Amino acid sequence: MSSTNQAVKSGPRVKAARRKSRPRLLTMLAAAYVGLIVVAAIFAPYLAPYGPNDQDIFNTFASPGGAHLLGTDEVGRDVLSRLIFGARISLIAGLQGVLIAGVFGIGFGVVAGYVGGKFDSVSNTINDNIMSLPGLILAIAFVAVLGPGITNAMIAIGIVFIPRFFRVSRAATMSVRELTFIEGLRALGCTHTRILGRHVIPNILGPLIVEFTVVLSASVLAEASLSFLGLAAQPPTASWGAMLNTAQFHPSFEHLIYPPGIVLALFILSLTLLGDVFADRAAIGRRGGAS
Amino acid sequence: MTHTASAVTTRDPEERAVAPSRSSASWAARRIGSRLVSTLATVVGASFAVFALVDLAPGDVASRIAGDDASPETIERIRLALGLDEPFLERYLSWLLNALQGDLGTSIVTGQEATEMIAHAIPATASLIVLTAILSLILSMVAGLLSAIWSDAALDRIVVTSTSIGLAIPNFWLGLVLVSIFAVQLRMFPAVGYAPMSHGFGTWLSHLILPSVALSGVLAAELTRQLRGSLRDTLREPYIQTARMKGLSNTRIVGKHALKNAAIPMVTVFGVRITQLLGGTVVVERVFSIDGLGNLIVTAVQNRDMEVVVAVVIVFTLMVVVANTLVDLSYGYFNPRVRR
Amino acid sequence: MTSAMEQHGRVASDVPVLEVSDLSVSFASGGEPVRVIDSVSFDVYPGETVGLVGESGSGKSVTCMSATGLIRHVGGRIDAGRIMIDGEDVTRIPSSRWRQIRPKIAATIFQQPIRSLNPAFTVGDQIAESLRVHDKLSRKEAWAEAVRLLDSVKISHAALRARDYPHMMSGGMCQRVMIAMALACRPQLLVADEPTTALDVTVQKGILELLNDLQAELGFGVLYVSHDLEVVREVCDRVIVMYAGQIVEYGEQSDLFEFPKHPYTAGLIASTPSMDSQRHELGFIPGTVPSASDFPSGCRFHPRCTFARESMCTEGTIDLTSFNSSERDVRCVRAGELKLHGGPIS
Repeated sequence: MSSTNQAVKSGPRVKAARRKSRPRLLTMLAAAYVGLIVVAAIFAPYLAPYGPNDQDIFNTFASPGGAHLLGTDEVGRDVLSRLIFGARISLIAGLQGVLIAGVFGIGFGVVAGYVGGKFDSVSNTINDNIMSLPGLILAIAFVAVLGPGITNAMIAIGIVFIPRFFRVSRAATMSVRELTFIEGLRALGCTHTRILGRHVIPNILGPLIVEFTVVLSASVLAEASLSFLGLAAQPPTASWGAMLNTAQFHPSFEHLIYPPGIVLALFILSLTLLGDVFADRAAIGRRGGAS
Repeated sequence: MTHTASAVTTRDPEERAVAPSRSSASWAARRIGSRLVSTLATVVGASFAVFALVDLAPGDVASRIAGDDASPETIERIRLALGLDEPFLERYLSWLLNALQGDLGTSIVTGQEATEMIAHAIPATASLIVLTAILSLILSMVAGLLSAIWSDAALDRIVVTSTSIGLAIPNFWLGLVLVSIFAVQLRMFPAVGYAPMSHGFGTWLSHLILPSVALSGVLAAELTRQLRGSLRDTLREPYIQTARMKGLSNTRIVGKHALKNAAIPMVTVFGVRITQLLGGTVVVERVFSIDGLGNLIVTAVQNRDMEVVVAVVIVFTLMVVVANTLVDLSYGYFNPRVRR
Repeated sequence: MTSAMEQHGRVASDVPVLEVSDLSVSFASGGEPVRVIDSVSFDVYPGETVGLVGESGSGKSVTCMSATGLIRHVGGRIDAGRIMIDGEDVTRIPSSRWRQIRPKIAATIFQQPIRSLNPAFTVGDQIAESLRVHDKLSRKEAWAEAVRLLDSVKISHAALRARDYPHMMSGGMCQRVMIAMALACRPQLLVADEPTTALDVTVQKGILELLNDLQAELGFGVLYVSHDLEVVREVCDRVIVMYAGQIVEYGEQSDLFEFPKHPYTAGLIASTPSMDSQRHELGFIPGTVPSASDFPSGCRFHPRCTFARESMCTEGTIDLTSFNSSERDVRCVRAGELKLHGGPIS
């Protein structure tokens, strides 16, 4: 019986081994692309051939080529320059969203997981309820209250993503809390703060980093969506989402539609790929180091 | 032909031990019942949250809602309309009472009843969601089944790559691209609008096909991934060997025996992603100028039409609950073991 | 318990239900193909039960699966040899042909009955499926026949039970369902791959009795695979002992167990706990079954054999030879000289 089982099992096992060596190239490409976006964001003024808002009324809807590598939009602004400056918006917006979500989500989550009891069960139920609502809708509702604008939008998006960080950090904290060395530290007279800071937090970093990349890419997408709706980046700000907002009224001009979308999609794809890599590493680390 | 002494063959001694339960209908009723209770709790919670946010945000509520360059008269009008002079709890409770009686408020802009605007918008959004779900299911089943039946390495890699790409493409951008290619250049489908079923099935479909494709990207990709993985696992189960022993064709083994079991995790994915789908209607309806709930809430936000905003949020919440209940019930079909 | 064979008496002109000649099967797991069973030959006649025993990894399952055409689905390949079922050569027929005829000629019941049934469909549905697909019965007819089959395997309230799902049934009941499913198209050969290993002893008895009765009634041959010698002793007429992909001993059941000729057989007997054995301590065979890629030279059992002799047992190929009459084969160069302890086991 076992020889048959061995044969059955060896088939898929061989395939799995072969697949692992391929993504390395993809990972490097993803990291390179993210790096490219970061560079574009930081050095935008030096890299862009024109200013993002420099209009050229006599040269609207120019096709790609010549003075404007990617053409111009409906008021003659250079598409390539707006793309480069747009990287700034996307990156900063994404980080804003993740930071807000992370600070509050991890803060509450760790406390809930550590303290337990009524606080934990109540906050967990609230969290689950919020998580069951459509995120984008909620963000839009928040923007309605706060008013449009990119900072407000990112606050709204940050709030929407708090539950995700809450859930992950709570679960991770609870599993760390179960480890007996925590009890030992308490017996030695360690304060809760010290335990949290020096022992709990370092041990939950793995899943948190994974969640960070997931929420970052979701944040970037959310900003683009809200800018597309005119609720985040206000004109004339050059956000990729906002560029697509104006492009939708001129669907015959492909050079307005494809560049922002491709750049955005590749950014999200790269962030997701890197997230997967971190997730794999974290899983392997846990398997190797645990118990 | 005479039997030997073992004609007195014993029946299985454990037969009596397991009593078959035949109450699948009551199981369904119980699930729906508990769902209704949690619905109420969620709706109350969501509305409370939005109300609280209006209050907790810094600054004067009315002027914030009115916008930077609103006149003092507009601000006063808003303050009166929303009753912002009264204390928070009173305001919320009176809203809740009205809502339970079917009055979800009025639009500051058009003066219409919120319920009326929502009723007008629901058919479009519901059609879009249903068509998107069907499309995603068909796409993912085809991709997942092909992947499993043919077990060709190249095909498999294509499927994996496409799903990664599918997960990363923003749905509104996909919509724009589709409009550009199919509506503007090829003129195969109309670019805008929604046509109700009464105008004919063909017209209804042609208006909705592009938006559905745009919206289904992420869901189809996720479902395909899930199906591929769970089909792989299911095909290793002992009962598949039994099916082969019975001489059933490969199509039947994968398409009937394996699929029904492999669909179980897919149902979970569906339930999780449905919420995202509803959120996606907001942008996709914009791209295709569909007069659905998504478009309604965006317009309401742009007009600072707070009562409508809250009303639509509530409706979306209800839709999420209904969708999750349906998902929950369908578990019983795919996995008879949960029907206790 | 008297076997079905003894009830019927074997007719010499009977065509064997299963005839395996010089069967060799290999697996190609990524690299070099590895031969897992080597020149296996045996037959099963209608109405008789042939036991196939050996430790895990001896090649029992591979042999069964090859006989029923299932081996290629798990990556195996028939290198050489011939398999005849009911007089028809099925060695090289394509999968499509196997699909058409398998349930009508050779059915298998497996080791874990609950897991061998699809949890998403009712028991009746699963039995009726074979009938609809192969015998082309209508839904109604197939269901009625499925209920009748459930009744024939002694499941009470068959009509009601047919609507149950596998998880609502005990292991013993599931195995009965499996038997009903296997016999639905009236095959001439039933392969039982450790059917009672996962069941309680009391339940096991019921299943064995059921198989016996059904065999007496329908006249099919049974290839019974097990590592449990006590069960084999109870139900089998002839026994094949396999080790490391080869048949090492073959013969009539009581003779083989009482007078084993191969040290491995004797070792298996010695390690079987039995109630009134003359031995007071439990023997065991040291070492483990070698994997197919690491078969020892000479006699494959020699590293674990207490009677192994340098050069005669460790080099060259050891053939399966007849011992005395044609009904007894042994693969051991020292078979004649060794005095080995046998049963009775029970």
